[in-house]
Amino acid sequence: MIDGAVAEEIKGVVGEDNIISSHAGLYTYGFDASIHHSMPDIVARVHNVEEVSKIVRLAYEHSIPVIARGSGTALSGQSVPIEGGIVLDMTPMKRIKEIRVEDLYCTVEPGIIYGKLNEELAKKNFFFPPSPGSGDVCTVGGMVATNASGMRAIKYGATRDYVLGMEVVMPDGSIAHFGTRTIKNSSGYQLEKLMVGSEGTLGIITEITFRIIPLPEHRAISIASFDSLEKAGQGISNIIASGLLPSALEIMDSVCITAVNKSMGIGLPECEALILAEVDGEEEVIKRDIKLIADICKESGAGNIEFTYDKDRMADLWRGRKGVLPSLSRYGEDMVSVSLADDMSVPISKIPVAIKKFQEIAKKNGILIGTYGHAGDGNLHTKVLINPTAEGSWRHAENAVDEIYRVVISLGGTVSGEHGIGISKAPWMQIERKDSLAVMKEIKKAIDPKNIMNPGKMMQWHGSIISYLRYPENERNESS
Amino acid sequence: MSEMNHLKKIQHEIMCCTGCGYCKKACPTFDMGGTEADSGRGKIFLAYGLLSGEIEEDTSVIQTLQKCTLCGRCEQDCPSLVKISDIIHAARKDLHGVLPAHQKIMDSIAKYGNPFGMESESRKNEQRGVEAENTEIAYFAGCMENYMEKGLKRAALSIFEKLGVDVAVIDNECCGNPVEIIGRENKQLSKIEKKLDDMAIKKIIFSCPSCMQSFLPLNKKFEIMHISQFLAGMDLNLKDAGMKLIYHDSSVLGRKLGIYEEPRKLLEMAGGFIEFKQHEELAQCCGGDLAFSAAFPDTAGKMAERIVEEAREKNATIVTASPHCYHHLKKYGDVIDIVEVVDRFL
Repeated sequence: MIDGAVAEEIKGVVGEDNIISSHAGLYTYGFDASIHHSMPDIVARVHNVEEVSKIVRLAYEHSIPVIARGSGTALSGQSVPIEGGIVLDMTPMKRIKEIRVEDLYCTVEPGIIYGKLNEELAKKNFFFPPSPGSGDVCTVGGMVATNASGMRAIKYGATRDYVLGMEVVMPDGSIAHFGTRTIKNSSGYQLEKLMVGSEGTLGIITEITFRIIPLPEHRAISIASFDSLEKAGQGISNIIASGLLPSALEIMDSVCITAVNKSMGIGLPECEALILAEVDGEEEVIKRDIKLIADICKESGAGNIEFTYDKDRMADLWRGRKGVLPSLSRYGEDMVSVSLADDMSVPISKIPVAIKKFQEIAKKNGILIGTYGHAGDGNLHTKVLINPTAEGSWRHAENAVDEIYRVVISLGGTVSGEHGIGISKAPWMQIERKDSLAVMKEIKKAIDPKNIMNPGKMMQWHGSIISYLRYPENERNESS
Repeated sequence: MSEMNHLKKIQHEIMCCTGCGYCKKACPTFDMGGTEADSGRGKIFLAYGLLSGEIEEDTSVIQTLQKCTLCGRCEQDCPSLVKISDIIHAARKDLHGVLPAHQKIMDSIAKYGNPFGMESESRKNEQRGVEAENTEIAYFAGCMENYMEKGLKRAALSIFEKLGVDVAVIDNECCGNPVEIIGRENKQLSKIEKKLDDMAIKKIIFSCPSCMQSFLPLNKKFEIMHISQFLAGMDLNLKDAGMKLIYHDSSVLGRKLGIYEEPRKLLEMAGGFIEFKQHEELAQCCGGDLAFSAAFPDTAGKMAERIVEEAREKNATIVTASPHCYHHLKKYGDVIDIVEVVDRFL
């Protein structure tokens, strides 16, 4: 619990209207989009770097945990304050400070919504490409904190690739500036890159300078249906090996296809698996490339193949793809989608074998797993469907997750391609990165000696991930 | 602690929410407040807490769960198709406490038969329609038209008269919609039903979508319809209104009752209209729900201002098809209701 006098001081910094201390208010800030929940002691809605700095200084003096939060769309518990403390709601910091297309950068506050930033950039025919599935609601600060990316990472990379510089409030409340506003920079440690993916454990990001690039003139999409996931996986590998560079190359299994059609009525072809490929660029190039992709899919065993250049249809298809995750909750009458083992990445050529293994694991553990993802860059999403209140369901799910991650690691992959670690993936990151864990801990200790920045996450997490569950009823302590 | 029986019944629906946050995308209360508790997701999270017993009811829980117009806009963006309004409504039903503004509404309905605490005497000498035994069609005038916006009732009855449609006027009881919205048992409807049973009524016409919504449980017994539906089916031959009109979809009439086309058809007959940037299923709620605007007048006001501002930018007069939207929006800008349009240009 936070001392009443400290709470008063925080109130003095942001004003009473920007403090959330009611029972209901605090409870709602204990969630993100993960399976976890834990309540903060106080929430402060911050509007500028000075406020952040003052509050962090107070937290430092009194050794109180500080957790930065954007839209709360993190999938692994990054925004859940498991040790209580102060949650900083960064969403009021949403100004676009500068868009300089002539210098290829924009400078923004962390609370701006990704989609809104791109709406503004589009007016100048530019964009910030990482395109996470949650892009219409997530903040760019959260994207930096988790190194988020999405379906266009295959061609355009992840958030990290666009971060040029940033302003950060350090754990003692001091304000630091990392990186530059230049496209190139070889000037010392790339501390701005260190902050990317640090999940709020090293400091609070209060301003970011992103590289921006011109919007492609045209796009086209092809959808190829397959009668097996393995064939679709092979199709992905064949497209990559051909030297083509699509702007997106997605895979979806039958569980996901059915869920999307049922929930969103998009009209995806019903089949065992499909590949959704997008190309962008000049008109002639996209026409040539989309045809080549279709040919490769056919040679890889595809049945029906559909092309489209129609903007509305393409928007619909992307809406369907982005809606896979939440749509999976509508797959069955007695099961829902829970965010576990959700974004592993494997070397691209290992996708067919990874998918096959995941299905075997699901069968063995008596659970249903939907597989989809940005297969073109090796990033897969598996979604575990369970009845959260049924006896044994969390135990089965945790067993399956453990087996999945061990397969991923054995294939030379990583437990998180784009969502980050938080709580839900921490035990397996610790296995995957066992050789660098000691360095990570040293960095954390050096920068945050009082361990107040989002404590307990990533390398600091111990024990079962089936903890701090948000779901009602009986099994919250089953595995802990 | 409450048994949470209503929430228990929809537990699976609650768990279908993945917490993705898409409900925040266009939620009007979230747009105005910006905190988690203002969003649909935040309210579903509270439902989790109430169900699991992690939180107990207090004023902040009541306040949070009531701070929603139940407009259903969030459901248009929810990829998991979660019935967010139903969850919030179920949670309200499980609450023991009531906000003071809501208590006042409920007390007024119990004492005066209307939510405004006005004596029914104030409606003396009004136009009354025909005797109930002489017609199978009733016009149900809601409290808003009876007490606050009498011009809308006059316009509706004037239309019926001009068209030679004999209607019996039912206007002596509140439909109980505000009580239902707050999450308390609506005892009004059974009272009205008993009275209707003594009459020969087969069809009931409403100018208020909220009243019409309250009557849905009786839709097997009576044909119930909004006045725009009744009128759009007729060859009205309206004169050109000569005004630039912009049509505001009421959340209840549109998203809840699915009535989009008929008011538009009437406006086409009156010379045409323009649309708000977000319209039909995606229309923005104006905050005019009685229970909501009574408890959260500032937020409701900001919601209305946003709509009025867009109409002003487009130099257009807002047309409503709901007395609640009309009453609320007219505090901020130029508004005309669909019954006034038809009556004036018929």
